[in-house]
Amino acid sequence: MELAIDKIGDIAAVTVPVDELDASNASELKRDIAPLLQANSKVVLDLSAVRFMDSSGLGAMLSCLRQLTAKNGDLKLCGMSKQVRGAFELVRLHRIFDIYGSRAEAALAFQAEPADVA
Amino acid sequence: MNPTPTHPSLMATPSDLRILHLEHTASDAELVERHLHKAGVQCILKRADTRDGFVKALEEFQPDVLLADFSLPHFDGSTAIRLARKKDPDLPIIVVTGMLGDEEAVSVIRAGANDYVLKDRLARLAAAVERAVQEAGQSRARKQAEAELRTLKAELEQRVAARTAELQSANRLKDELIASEHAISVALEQVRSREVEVGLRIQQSLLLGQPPDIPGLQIAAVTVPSQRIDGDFYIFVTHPDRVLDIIVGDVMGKGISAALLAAATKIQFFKALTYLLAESRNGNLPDPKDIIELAHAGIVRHLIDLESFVTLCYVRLDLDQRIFTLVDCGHTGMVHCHAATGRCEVLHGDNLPLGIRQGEIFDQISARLELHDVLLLYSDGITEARNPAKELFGVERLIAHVEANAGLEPVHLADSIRGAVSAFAGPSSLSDDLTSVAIRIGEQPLAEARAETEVLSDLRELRTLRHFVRRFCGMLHDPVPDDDLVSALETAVNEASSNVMQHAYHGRSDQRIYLESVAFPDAITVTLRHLGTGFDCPPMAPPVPDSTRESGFGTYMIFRSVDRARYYRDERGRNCISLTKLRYSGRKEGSAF
Repeated sequence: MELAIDKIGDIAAVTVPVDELDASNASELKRDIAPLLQANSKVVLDLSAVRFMDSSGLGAMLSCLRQLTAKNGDLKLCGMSKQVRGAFELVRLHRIFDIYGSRAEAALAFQAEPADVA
Repeated sequence: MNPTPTHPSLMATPSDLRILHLEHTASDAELVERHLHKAGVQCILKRADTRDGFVKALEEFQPDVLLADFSLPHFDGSTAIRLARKKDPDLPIIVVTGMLGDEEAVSVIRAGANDYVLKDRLARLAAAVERAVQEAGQSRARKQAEAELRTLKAELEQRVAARTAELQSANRLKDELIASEHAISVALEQVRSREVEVGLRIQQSLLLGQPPDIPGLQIAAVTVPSQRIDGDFYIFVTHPDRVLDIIVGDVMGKGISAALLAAATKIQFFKALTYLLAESRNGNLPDPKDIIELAHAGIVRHLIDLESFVTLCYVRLDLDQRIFTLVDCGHTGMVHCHAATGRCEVLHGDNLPLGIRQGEIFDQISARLELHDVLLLYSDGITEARNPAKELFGVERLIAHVEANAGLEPVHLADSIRGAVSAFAGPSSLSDDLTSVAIRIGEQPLAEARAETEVLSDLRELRTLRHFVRRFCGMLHDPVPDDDLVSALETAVNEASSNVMQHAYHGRSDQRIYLESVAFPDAITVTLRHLGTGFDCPPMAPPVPDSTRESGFGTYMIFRSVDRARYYRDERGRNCISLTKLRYSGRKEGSAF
């Protein structure tokens, strides 16, 4: 899938370009986002286009988070619909991810953090 | 060879001594010959006087005795003796010479001669020859004996070696036998555990199964297997117009044979039912007694041959007519707990078990069912459980328990019966399966809406299924399902379908999944049906998944999203996953779900 990336300083904001993230396309996202995760340490995933996410989608989110934390980077999520938020809460993953309303909020949160984090 | 001189004879015979005479002087040779003949030594003499002649004669003449002069013009006695000895270590050699000093005499003997005779004392010669021949014979005999001894010893050694090898190979064989015996016992153990496993699988898949989902009817079937498989089985058959047949049976005997007989019995019932349904002219359901009669006719001979029999209760519930029909064939009967009075009665038939006699006629009884009545079918493992004092659990205790717990949901009632029997039996283990099927008659909910669809087992169809659920929920208006309810149902259907596509169909995308949605006033149920591998699903919600993993959330999400998730096989052998979401938060009083 085509992933659009916006740079805000050293922060990479990526929009997940599907309206439904499920078992049929989650592995495609994981594959296509991998180079972005290698090239950037501070990543915001914008989920505002996603209306539905299932367990495979949650698995893909966890995979992104793990790759970034492994290299001392961080992942922030934003733009969750009610259903998507519900899916995260259902399996308690909202406690593990940093979740923000908008891209700007997520970017601000990155900037507010001490510079040595990344 | 005959070394003993006998009568003198001029004729040479094969027994004559062959004497080679190394002698330069012909007259001396003749003198020697005359002496020998005179002394009666039967012999053939050959004279050699050169080295070449001597060597040639040794080879060709094959002498029995060698007479040799010690001093020759062109040859010498000691060389001649050594040559002769080399050829035959036992050849009797006598030196016949003119003069012999003491020193020469010693060297003659050293060279290997047996004796010496001086030419002027030829009278001694015959005796010397005889003695030398005798000694040579003895020597040969001794050597032969020694050789034989050696051969014997070698043979013995060989035999010992062979025997040792035999023993070693026997030992190896023994080790191999022990090893293979061990391997066989391991394999046997594997076969036995495999047998138990196969038996359990037969029991789980062919004999037991799960009761169907009929709105307004609560059914729970519980079996606690004893140490071994036995032939407990149940059959659920749903008919149109809310009619349900339930057969609970028990084949006499244990183990796989009982399980297979139970499976064969089940098949006979399905066959009889199919036949009678096809024969039915007015479309009426055949009576349970007729179904039993036909099934019995199909299996009675086999049961008699195998010296086994089957007890069973066949009950038909007509939920619309509120009537049940019971045929009890030597089984435990059925407990009917009346909601109005809270009291139980036990209904028995007086039919013989299946497999006792051919041409048996079966009788059925019918009675009214009222709302919230409870029916209990059970195996004799329950009433015949014994406590340490050897008392039976008995029907009275069972009835008292059911009356006290009739308000429980069937699944909890069945479980409490199991608990009560286990507590009663105490530490003494239960020897029989505990099977019970508890049924509670609920109100028939009217379906507000119903829809079905069919998709391929392709992950891209998940979207289609979610939209099917959304569209279905969008049709409902009393009450209109809220977003949370729709999302939850959508999530559960998505996870269950995704699981079926990826695991039940092993990633094959060309298989079919059937979805049916039914909305009742207080709940919405979506049922997935598929023919792929059924999976062992936990009966209740698994724990919160570990967030260090990227998968394994699906099952948890299903259980968290809906109020009830059930896995069962329907009467057509399809794996069913029914997902029910209540339309009101919290359970309504008297809810059928």
